[in-house]
Amino acid sequence: MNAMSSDDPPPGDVTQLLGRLRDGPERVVDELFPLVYDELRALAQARLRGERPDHTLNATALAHEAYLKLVDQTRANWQNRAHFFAIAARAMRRILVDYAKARNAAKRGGGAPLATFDEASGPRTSGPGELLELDEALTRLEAVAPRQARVVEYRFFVGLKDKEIAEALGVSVPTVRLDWRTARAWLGVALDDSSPGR
Amino acid sequence: MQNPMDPERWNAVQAAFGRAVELDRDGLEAYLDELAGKDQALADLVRQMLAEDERTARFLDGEAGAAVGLGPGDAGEGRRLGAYRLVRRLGSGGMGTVWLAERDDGAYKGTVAIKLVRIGFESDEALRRFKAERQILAALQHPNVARLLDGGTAEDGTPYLVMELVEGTTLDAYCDEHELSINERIRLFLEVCAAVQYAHTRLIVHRDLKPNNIMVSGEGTPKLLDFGIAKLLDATELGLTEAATRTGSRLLTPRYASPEQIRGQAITAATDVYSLGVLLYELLTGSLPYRSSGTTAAQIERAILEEEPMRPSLVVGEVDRSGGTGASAARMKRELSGDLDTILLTALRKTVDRRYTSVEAFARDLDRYLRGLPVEAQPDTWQYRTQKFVRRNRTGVGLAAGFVVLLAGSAVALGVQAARITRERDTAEQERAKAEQVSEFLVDVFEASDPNEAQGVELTAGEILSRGGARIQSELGAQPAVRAQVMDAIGRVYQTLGEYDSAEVFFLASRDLRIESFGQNHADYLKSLVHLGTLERERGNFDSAVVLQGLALEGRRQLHGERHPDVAESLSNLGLATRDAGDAAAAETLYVRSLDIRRALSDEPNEGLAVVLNNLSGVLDDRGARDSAIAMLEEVREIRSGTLGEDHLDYSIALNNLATAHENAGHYDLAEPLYRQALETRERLLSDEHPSVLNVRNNLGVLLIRTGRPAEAEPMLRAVIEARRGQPDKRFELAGELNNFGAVLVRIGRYEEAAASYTESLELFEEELGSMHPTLAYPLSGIGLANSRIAREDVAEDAFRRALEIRETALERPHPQIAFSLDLLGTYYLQRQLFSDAEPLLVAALEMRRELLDDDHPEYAKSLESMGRLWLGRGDPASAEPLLRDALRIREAKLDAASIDIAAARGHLGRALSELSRADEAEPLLTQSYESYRAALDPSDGAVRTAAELLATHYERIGDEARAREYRRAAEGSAP
Repeated sequence: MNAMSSDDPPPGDVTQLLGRLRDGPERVVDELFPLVYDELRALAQARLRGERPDHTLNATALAHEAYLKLVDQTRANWQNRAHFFAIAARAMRRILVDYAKARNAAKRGGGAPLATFDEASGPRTSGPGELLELDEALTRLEAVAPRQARVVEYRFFVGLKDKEIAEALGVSVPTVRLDWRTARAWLGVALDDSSPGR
Repeated sequence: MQNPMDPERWNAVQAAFGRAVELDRDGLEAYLDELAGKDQALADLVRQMLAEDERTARFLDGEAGAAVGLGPGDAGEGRRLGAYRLVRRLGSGGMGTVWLAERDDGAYKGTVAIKLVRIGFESDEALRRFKAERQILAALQHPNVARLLDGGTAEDGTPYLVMELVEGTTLDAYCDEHELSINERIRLFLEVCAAVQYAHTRLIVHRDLKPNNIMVSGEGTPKLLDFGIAKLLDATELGLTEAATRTGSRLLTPRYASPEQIRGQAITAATDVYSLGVLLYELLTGSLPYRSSGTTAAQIERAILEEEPMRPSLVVGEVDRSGGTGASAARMKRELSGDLDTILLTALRKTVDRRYTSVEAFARDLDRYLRGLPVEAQPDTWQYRTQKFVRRNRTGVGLAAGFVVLLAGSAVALGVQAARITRERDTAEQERAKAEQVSEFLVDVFEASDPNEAQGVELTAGEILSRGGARIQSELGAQPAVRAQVMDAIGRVYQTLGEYDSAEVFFLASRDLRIESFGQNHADYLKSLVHLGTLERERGNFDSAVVLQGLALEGRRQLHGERHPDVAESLSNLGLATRDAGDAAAAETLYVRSLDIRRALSDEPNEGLAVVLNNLSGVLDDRGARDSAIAMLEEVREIRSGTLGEDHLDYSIALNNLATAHENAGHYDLAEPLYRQALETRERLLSDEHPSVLNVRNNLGVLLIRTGRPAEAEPMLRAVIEARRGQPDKRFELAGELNNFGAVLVRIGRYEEAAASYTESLELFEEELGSMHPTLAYPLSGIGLANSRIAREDVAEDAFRRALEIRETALERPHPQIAFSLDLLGTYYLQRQLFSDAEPLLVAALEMRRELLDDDHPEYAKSLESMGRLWLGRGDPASAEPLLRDALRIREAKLDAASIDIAAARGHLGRALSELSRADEAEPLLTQSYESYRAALDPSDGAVRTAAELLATHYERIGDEARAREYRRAAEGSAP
């Protein structure tokens, strides 16, 4: 994909930025991340401040909504889409962790929970503490096995499919599957170790 | 973490773990031992990871592999909840994780089960549901329901339930481990029913009954677990929202879910009846009710919605063919067939209102079964199953019942509608005659073997089997082929007698013996499939029949190659089943292939050839290829006359079908002697009220109506109806016969009775076919006719209109029945002098009939007459005359001389001639018309009076005042 037209992209145009990914992913990700993060956060907050306080927050749906909003569909293709969601996953993770922290604080102060997740498509976390533990463990994993941590992030936070993850990371689907399985099992052990009573 | 982790270490971990997950249990242990030798910490970690992996694997394999279930919530051994300490995870259900826990506050020692809400379920809705569950469970106190002991909220806000810990095994495992017999399984199941029924009385529907939710304790007491998604029937009381109810369906185990659950429809106690039905089905047969269930949730759901459950007794055969001991499998099949089949299939019906109305009713029938009493459930009738098919394929399916509808004109005109007559088809067996004799002989032998047996007492299949069994064993023990043959023959006797359950017992026993002796790649086994398939078809299980006949065909092709009489026979059998299952075109192809093989194999006439010709002729006749159909049926008659002789039921089938084909083609004179001969044969060979005898009588009655002899038809059809009321399986036939009887009554002027007969017919048809089936147009037309004769104009017009509407919707133009209804409504308008309303209808009818029918067909004559009457009404007798003359000519050629249709045509023609001042020609026609009516009907009948009025008008026209007055008086209601 020869991405760019000779014209400079207007700043903030996500579609065009995505189109450049092949040439220098890291830089583009850095440029994209704030855009996506802001959009997702805005969407999540709008959702949570809505007229229904008990509304569930579906991370995957949010990411899709952000995607539709930010990316010009006529110029995007599925690889772009995978990259977008990869970024969205990281953004979503940060947003959720922020919520969890806020919620923990609120809980200590006796406030109501801020966000919960749709049972079928989002991460299942029973309490903010646990999400924070997961985030911690994931950070530890990142340090030793960054790719595996990405796989968990993509899969867990925005429900990316194996094939999309493989594309975003430039590895094969079987690799993604083994990464996921190993990382998940390892995280399970790590979380068990940190749970109370051990 | 136990070990410092770095990228290199990670690679080792991933490599070891990746290898470990590929290994089977033994290989894994060896590998881990080996690994431990080199790196104990790595081996430990991998082992730990494997434990986590197994625990969470279900999430990976879940919906779309979504990232669900990852998280710390599953951990928690040793965690304290109130007075309890979690010991070990027991499993997870739809809503949460279940733990074995110990009471830990010193006040009381005991183990309990604790259910924690699953992580990620902590929405307000989930909380509400959880609380609801607590209240529901707390309200339930029954020895077969796991008790709710306590409940609370963990420190982190997770709610939990403390429940009675039920040690033991799941219901299905318990039955298998203890090798429970069918009756023992039913008794255990009845305890489950009692618990569910108890909950129902408290308005609690379980909604997720499945083996895993029913544990059996060491003492053999079943206990129901997990009312997790039960909802109070009166949901408002607990504040459960509709959303909660709907969401609940997602948590269901689809295999045990009812059709209404899958459709998202209202859940009632009947939902539990259905799930209990599946449960018992599985307990008794070892498999689930649907052949195609098993893979994806969507497929399972489709099967639940669309597929008919396999008959349990057949399934046992399938399952045990590979596994269980032959003897016990055969016994199980015998036990299952009959009442248990009926009970299970009743519980599993797709529509709620056709199921058992309560668990109690279900349990009561099981109890009756255990005590050897007759059960209350009724098997699905042939008609019911057909009806469902017919509903799906409204225009494509012919119905095998005969009825006729009268066609009304003015007060004097009547016509006859061509209707479908009962057509019978041959049974598939070539050797039935022989086999029957063999079998009857055998039955005699069994009866003779017991001197105490009173003559004429009917034996049950079980009695014959047990009594004859010893003898078969001692005399034929070393000859399994003959033994199987004998059982097969007995099966066919029962089938001929219409005792299908008994027939099946013997067919299955024979089949199993054959498999045991020769395996499945053997002609005898394939023969058994054919017989079972034929039986299934006769019972109306057309889909099963197609499967069985298809299997037999494939087996025979492999065994014999294509050109073989058995293959030809199977093609024909499959064609028959396929046709009944609604695909006439496919059936025709199969028949033609079968016929080709027959013709290629032999020039000699033989029964196999007769069968396929007969079957093919039916399809041809249905699609209007009348001449070919008649030619084939003539050949069938000739063959059977030579091979079977004329004193044979199969010969009478040939006669009946040939008569029907002739009748459909308008050859009434040829049809009548054929019917009479068929009737005579059957009356001699069968009981007087045998369904086959009644069929021919009905057919003959219809022909009598058609040819204008209602007085002869009346007692015949009345007797048929009386006898038919004693045959509860034959409501569909009864409906047709009531319709025909209505036609008779209209023709002899008993309009009130006619309306009643038609109305009963309509109600029966509506019950069987729903409210939009084209068949309903027959009695509707009759209702219109009868009411128009007693001046209930609105009722009549509504009925005519509805009949036309139904036919226009269900059938495609041009169609003889649409023409019929157009003409009927048109003549009704004629009668009311609404000529411009009548004209387009009558013209359309005439054109359709001209296109579809021979130009000497009585229905065509009816349209000619209607058009003639239209001209008369508009004051143009010259245009009317040739039409009416043609109509009369056709009727005189086709119908009995005394027919009131002829009287009607004469009356109209006479009127035209009188108006044309051709008094000499008019007078005899009008007089004959009046006399015929008077002979046929009551003097006060409107038709008689109209005929008198025509005469009076005629005499006025020619100035014969005296006669005019005389007939005027007659027209006013008193005979001259």
